[in-house]
Amino acid sequence: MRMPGVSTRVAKATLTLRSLLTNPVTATALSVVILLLLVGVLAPVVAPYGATSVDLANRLAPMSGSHLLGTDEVGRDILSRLLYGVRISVGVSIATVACAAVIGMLLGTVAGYFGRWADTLIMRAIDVVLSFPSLILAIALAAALGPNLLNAALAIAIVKIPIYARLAYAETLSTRQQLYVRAAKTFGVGNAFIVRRHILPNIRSSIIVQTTLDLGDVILLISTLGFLGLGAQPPTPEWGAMISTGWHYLIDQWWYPTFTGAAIFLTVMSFNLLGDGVRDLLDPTGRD
Amino acid sequence: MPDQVAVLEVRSLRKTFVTSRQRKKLTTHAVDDITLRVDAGDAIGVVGESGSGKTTLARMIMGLERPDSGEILFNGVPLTGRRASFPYGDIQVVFQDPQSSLDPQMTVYELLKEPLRGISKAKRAKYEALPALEELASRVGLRPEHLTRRSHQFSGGQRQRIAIARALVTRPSLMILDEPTSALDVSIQAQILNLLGSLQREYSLTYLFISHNLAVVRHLCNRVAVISHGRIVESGDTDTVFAEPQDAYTQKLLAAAPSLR
Amino acid sequence: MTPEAPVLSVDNLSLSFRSRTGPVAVLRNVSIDIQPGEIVGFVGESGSGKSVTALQIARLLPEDQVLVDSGSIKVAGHDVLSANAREMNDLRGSQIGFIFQEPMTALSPTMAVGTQLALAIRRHARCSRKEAQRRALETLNEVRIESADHVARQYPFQLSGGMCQRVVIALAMCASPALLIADEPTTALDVTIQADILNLIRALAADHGTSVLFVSHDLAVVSELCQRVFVLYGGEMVEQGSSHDILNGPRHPYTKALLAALPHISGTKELQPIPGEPPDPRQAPAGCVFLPRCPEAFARCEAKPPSFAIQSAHTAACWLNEQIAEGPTDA
Repeated sequence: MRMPGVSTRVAKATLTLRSLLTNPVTATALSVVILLLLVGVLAPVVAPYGATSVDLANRLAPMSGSHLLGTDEVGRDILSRLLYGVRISVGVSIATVACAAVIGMLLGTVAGYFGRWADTLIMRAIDVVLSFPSLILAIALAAALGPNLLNAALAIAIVKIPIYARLAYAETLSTRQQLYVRAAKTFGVGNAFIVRRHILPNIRSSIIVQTTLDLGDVILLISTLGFLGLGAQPPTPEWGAMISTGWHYLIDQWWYPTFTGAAIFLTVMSFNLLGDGVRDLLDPTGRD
Repeated sequence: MPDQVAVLEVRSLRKTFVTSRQRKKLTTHAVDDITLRVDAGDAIGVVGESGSGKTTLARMIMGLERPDSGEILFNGVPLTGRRASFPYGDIQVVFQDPQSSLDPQMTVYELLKEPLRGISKAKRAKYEALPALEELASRVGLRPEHLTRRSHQFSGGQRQRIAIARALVTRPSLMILDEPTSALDVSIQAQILNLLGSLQREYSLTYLFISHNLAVVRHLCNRVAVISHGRIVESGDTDTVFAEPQDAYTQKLLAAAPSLR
Repeated sequence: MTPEAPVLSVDNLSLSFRSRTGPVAVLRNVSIDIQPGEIVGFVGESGSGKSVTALQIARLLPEDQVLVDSGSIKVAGHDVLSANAREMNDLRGSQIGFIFQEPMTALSPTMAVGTQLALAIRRHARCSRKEAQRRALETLNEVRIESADHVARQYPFQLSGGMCQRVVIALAMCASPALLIADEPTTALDVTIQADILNLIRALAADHGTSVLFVSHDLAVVSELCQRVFVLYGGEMVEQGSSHDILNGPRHPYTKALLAALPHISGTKELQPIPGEPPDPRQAPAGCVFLPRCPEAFARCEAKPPSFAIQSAHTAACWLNEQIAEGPTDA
C-alpha cells in the first residue's frame, strides 16, 4: 500500500530551528543549552569573581548579596566557579564527543565498506573495548594516563569510539547494498569517491543523532572522573571535582555541593532532552 | 549482420554459486553455458522469471560479477580474463528501482556528472560542460532548473528519466536496462518506453533489455532470448519467437501472460 | 441473507488521511456494489485510492490516521464502519477474507504454516485441535498444494513466493467468507505462477460462492479474471462496467488513455503515453480529476462531472457522456 503523498522512501526530515521549536520540551532544552553555551563563552564577563580568586577571610560563607551562591572552603565564589565550569564540562564534552564521533565513524566506515581483514581487525578491536564496562574502563585509562583533564577526555573518547564505530559499521553495511552504490561501481569511480560522496553523507544523520544523545552522558562522565580525582585537578573549577570536596560540607554548608550538583543535573538534562528532540526529527524510521 | 563485429558477444558463460543451508551445500548454476550475440542497433530482450539467471548474466556484463568460465566480448575486446579492463562509459546501466538507484542527497547535476569520472579526460571535458548537461536533461524530458534539485524531490517517472540521462551522459554504445519500467505506473511506463525507443535511434544505442514483462519486450525489442534455469531455451527475432514459439517453456510463458481480451 | 442483497455495499465513501499539513483526501464519493458470486476488479495507478478502499473495507488502515468523511460500508449486511474492534475481528475471516501483495510477510515467520492455518480455523469454528489440523490439511489441498502434510510443517521462509501465496489464500478462505479481497496478490509473483493463482482464485470463489474484490494496477489481469471492473483515478471512480464494456467500449478518457498506453503482447502498436503525472492528493482539484491530462477536455470539465449511466451497470464520470446518457445518476 502506498500512503498518498509520501514517497516510498521516507525523505530525510530537515532539521531546522523551527522544527526544533515546535515541541515545547525540546524548545526549553534548546534555550537552556544556548544559554549555557553563551555563559561558557562569556564567563569572564558574566562571572562576578575569578574562578580561582582565593579569599580566606570569607571561607564557606553562606549565600549573600556579594556571593550569590556562597563561597567554598578557600573563599572562592561558587557562582563564578560554576559559570567558569561550564567551559570545562560543556566545552570538553563537545570536543570529546566530536573526536569520538569522527574517529569512530571513520573506523566503522572503513570496516563496513572494505570488509574482510579491515572488518575483522577493526571490529574485533572494537569488541574488546566494548567488553569492558565503560565507566570502569574510563577510570582505569584515566588513572593509567595520569590525572589531568586532557587524559580524562582522552579516556572518555576511547570509551565512546566503539559506539560510533558500530553505528557507522551497520549503516555502511546497509548503504553499501544500495543500488546507487552498485551504480557507482559500474561507472568506474574509485572506492574513495564512493565512501566520501555516497556512504558518509548518507550515514551522517544517524551519527549526529548519536552525538546529541551522548553529550549529556559525556558531561556526566567528566564529572564522575573529576569527582574521583582523575579529571581536572584543583584549582580548575570542574564541577565533579567541586562536589568531591564539596560533599564533605553537605550538612552545614549545603549550598556548596547542592548547587554544583544542580548545575550538573540541569546541563545533562538539557542536553539529553535536546538530543531526544533531534532524534525524533531525524529518526529514519519515523513515519509521516 | 554476421560479418561485422558484434557489439556484445557472450560465449559459453558460466557462473555457479555455492551456499550452505542447514549444513547442506547447495550448488546453483545461475548461468549455465550461455552464448549470446548482440549486434549494433539491436534491442535484445532477455526474458526470464525470478531465478532464471538473467540478473546474474546482466551483472557479469555490467562488470559487477566475474564469470567462472566463458568469455564476454565487447566490440571484439574481451571483458573477462587477466588483461581485461572494463570499458567504463561505453557500457551503461539503467536499474529497476528509481528510488534507490539515485543517491537521494545528490543533486541531479552531481548525479549526471558522476559517470564522467570514469572516462577519458578528453571525452569528459566535452560532456560535462553545463550546456551539454542541460541539453541532455531536456532531451529526456526534464527542465534545466531540475539540475539543482536533489533527487528525492522527484517522482518515480522523473527519477527514471534522470537515471536514463545519467546512463547517456558518457555516450555509451551499449545500454543495459534492468527492468526499467517495472516499478512505474502504467501511464508513466508508456512515456519511458517511448523515450527509450526514440533515444535508441537518436544516440545509436544498442540495448540489452532485461524483463519479465513480455508485452514490454515485444514493444521495444527486435530480438529476444528466453532464459530458464541459467540456459537460453530459445532466442531469435521477437516477432517470430512470439508468433511461433518452439520451446515448451517459451510457450508456457506466452500462454501465462495476461492479455487484454 | 436474501438472494438480492449485495455482499458488499459501499455507499458514497470519502476518506482522508491525517498529515502534518492537515487532512488529505484520498478517496472521494466512491460507491460500489458487489453481488453474491461476482468477481469484481479495481483498477488504478498509484494514488487512485484502490488499495485504500480495499483496506478500509476490512478496516485494516491505522485507525488514528484515517478519517471517514462520509459514506458507509456494509459487508453481508454488517456495518463495517461502526463496528467495534471485537465485531470487526469476528467479521474478518468469517465474512471478509484478505489476500495481501507480499505473501512472505503476510505470514508469521515464527510459526509453521499448518499451525497458522489451524489457529485461523479454530478462531472461527468450534473444533478440537486435531480437527482443526485435519481441516488445515484439507484447505491446503484445496489450494492445490500437493504433499500438504509436508508443507504444513514448513515455515514461510522455506516456501517459495507462489507457495506462500497459496497458504495466504487458504488462510483467507478457511472460514468460507462472503467476500474475498485480493490486494495486488500476484504483483510480486512470476508470470507463470500468477496464472496459476488467478485460476485458483477463480475456482475457489466458484466452489465457495465467495464474491471477490480484486485490486490491481494491471488492466490485463483484471480483464481476464473479473466480470465487472471499477476504474479509479485520483481518489475517484471514473468508470465502471462489465469488463467487456470497459475494454471494448470505454467511455472515460482516462480508461481510453490507459488502454492506449498498454503495451500488447500480440503486436506492436504505437504506445500512446498519458502526458503528465498522476495527481497529488494534497492538491484536490475542483473540477474533473483527470482534467490536467485529458486530451478531450473542454470548458464543462471545470465542474466535477457526476456519474452518467451509459447503459445499465455501465457508468462514466465524464461530461462527454452528458448527451448520450438519459441523465446523470449518481450510481
